[in-house]
Amino acid sequence: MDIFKVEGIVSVGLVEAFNAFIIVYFMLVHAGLLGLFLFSWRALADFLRNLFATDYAQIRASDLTLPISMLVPAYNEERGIVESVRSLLRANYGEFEVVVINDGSADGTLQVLMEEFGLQLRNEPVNVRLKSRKVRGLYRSTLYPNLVVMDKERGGKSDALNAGLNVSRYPLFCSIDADSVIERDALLRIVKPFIEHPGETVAVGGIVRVGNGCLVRDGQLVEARLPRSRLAVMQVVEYLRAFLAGRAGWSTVRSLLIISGAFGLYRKSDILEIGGYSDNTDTEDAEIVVRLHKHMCEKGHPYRVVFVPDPVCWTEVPESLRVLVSQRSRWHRGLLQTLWIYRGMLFRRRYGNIGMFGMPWYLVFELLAPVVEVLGYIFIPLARVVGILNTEAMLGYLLLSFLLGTLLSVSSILLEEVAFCRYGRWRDLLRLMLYGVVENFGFRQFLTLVKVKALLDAFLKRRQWGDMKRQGLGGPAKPRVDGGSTAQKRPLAAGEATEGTKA
Amino acid sequence: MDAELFLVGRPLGLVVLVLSAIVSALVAFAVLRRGSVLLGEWRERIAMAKLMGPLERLLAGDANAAATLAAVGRRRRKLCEQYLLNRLGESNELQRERIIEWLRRHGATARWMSQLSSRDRRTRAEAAEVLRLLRLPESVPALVALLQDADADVRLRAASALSELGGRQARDALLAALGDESRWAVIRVADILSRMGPDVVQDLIESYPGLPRNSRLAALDVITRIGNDSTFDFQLSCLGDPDADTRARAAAGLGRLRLPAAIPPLRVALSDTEWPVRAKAARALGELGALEALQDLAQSLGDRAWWVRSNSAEALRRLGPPGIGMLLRALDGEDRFARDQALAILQASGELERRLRPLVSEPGSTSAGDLGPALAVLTSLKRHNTVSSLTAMADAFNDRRLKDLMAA
Repeated sequence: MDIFKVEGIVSVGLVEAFNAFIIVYFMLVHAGLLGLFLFSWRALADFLRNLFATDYAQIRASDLTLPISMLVPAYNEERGIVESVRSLLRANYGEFEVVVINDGSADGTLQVLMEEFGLQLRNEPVNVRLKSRKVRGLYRSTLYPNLVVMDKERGGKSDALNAGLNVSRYPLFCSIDADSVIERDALLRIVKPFIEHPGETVAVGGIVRVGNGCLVRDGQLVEARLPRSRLAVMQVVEYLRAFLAGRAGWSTVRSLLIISGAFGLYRKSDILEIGGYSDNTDTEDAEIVVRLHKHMCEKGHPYRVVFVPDPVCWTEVPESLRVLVSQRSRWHRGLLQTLWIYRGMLFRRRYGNIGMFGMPWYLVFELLAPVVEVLGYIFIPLARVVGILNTEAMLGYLLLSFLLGTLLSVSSILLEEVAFCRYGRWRDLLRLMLYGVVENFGFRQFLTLVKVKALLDAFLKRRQWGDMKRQGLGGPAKPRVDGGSTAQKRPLAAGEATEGTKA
Repeated sequence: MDAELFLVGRPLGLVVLVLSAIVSALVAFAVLRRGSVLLGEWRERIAMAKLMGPLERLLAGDANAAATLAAVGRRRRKLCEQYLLNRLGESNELQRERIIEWLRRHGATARWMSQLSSRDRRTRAEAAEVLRLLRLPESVPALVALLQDADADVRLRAASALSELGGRQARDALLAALGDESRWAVIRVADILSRMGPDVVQDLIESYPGLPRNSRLAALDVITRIGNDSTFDFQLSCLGDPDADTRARAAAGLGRLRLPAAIPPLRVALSDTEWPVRAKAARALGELGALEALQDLAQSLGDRAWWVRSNSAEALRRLGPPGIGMLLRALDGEDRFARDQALAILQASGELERRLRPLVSEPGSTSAGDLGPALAVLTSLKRHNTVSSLTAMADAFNDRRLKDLMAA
């Protein structure tokens, strides 16, 4: 393209070098992701092979099973909170308590809880082990002795969790999002690593699935269905890829950096030792796990942070682009903040696989991937313009990038189909497969731009939370009184949902 | 840039083509797999509907039904086997004999016995599970041999099957299985033994000294779970064992026996060097209703270990008014840990609310006699300022007097 005077605007050599870098980077990312997928596949196969040997009834009956406090921070969750709490109270587990922390909700969250569960204000002073905003009152249910509701001033999710930790009684605690529904056996399944390796296990993450569209009755999932919203279905694919093809693999290589805030089980003493949740990042779930890794590595004791693929938590995901953008921006900002705060762990042998492998991967191939990807979209066509690449090669690279992304998505769906087969309807399977292909053409690129914007926001110190209009899982939505609620949404910590970086 | 270096041209096209083929194959595989699973289930349902009648008639002793079922093919015979195995649990003796007879005649029992030596651990485990349901005396030697299996789960299922068969051999085998390295296995063997009842207690006590440490712990678990008074002396001797876990289990077991003679040694155990022993001893004293241990438990409220403090507080609560009195006194003590623990248990039990309630009752409805203790509790809480929500509590009550008291 001699008609363009490229020289003087940008050096051809620079374009050439950067192009080579992008392509090498692209190959490394995909090789890594496919390797991770193989680790995940192996981990899931091992897990399923050993599953038949586990008698969950014995875990339930055994004295050696530790009691669990379930902490449920809730902010403006009046639509879904009752279903959530009901599902938690029906958990098939020996000894547990449910602690709901109403974090200064402006809607009727506390009122619906009071009506539904017969709450009574109890004058119970709180034993403060972690600082939190002022507690307005502590309520106990007249119907369920193991239900506690704390009403406090707004302080954010980490503040609510810290307040909940102060009230909780048991040595293990489980953080659960208020817009989520856990399956009946989820606690029995998630506690298993604590029984198998009681001295070493410090945190366990379960799988979070998209609950939009599912049939939920009386707080229990009746049938898993795909949501009608296209945006939500694409997130179903993302969640499957992130959890089944991502975290299972990270757990195998002992580099699990994120346990979803929507459903994770922790040893309380360790969390108290590190000072509880911190509000200095936008993703408290990622931050606390990295801090926990740091703490345990520095103590020098053997420890385990693991992912278990079968305890399921169904959660509500955004169905509007605006909320999705806000949510993903927050996740990516959170990743940046976490990696920045703990940058001292990078490439340090002292921090084991996390320092040498996990964090460097997240830095190079998750945090920065969107930037490289966007530059790729600019530089590869530019290479075509300056005559380094021909049209055929340019289109070939783009197609290769889409195909590798699709391969990963479809493989994850296949993993789900073979291992768990949660979506029983034919229509859902076909739609999932279709979206496994379609989401690579547009949706992922859109999220990449969102992440780049998030990084810019972080540098410009702009910060915002997503406003999510809750429908609530299960049943028709009740009429709303106010105009929407603020959600502090969680998991798929930053970047994890992207996986594919394209050049 | 060397175009060939980056797979431009034909090689790139080939890669794209191969990837497209893989993606398409994966999609097709998922769809076909789902189809084949559903088809299999549908065929199974149809077949089962046809077999149900003859199977039920077989259980009722109809010889013609046996003849009908003898003619079915291999796949349907498997369905019959599964159905009959499922029915075993709810069958009477006669039906049970008919089921076993039918399974024997069609070679199913011989197949399961041979599967015990399969190379696949899952096959071995499942065969042992089936033999547990069948309780075939001839399977004992093979099951005993399986107790040496390399896989913990297989060993465990064999032990479980042997427990159903009863007898000395099974008991010995289970006692040996107690020494398994797998934690799961030991938990489950202990579970099986404890279901076998008091008969195994004497055997466990006799074999106890010769067992390795983990097996001793598991044996002690079984003994304490069965909870026979005749084991009191044995458990008491375990309370003096050099191993802390053994002492802790013995302490817990003595609490379950509910014999007052256990109180003095448990009081001594409250000052054990290891916290698990102290924690279990505290809980046991609560279960025993040991009023003579009031002071010891109050002292343990300030223990270094959370579990000891927690169990001591719970034990004091279980001791009734004298114990509650101790907890209230602890609220005013100098020991912060003891104060926190006492506070936690008082609030969890609702005792604190009962004590403070007079402060927010309508003026005139509360006597000065009630108000005094309530004020004393409030003053204790305020003095040490160990809690954050007292002010919030006053706000929530919206009670002028309480607010004034808080502000004072």
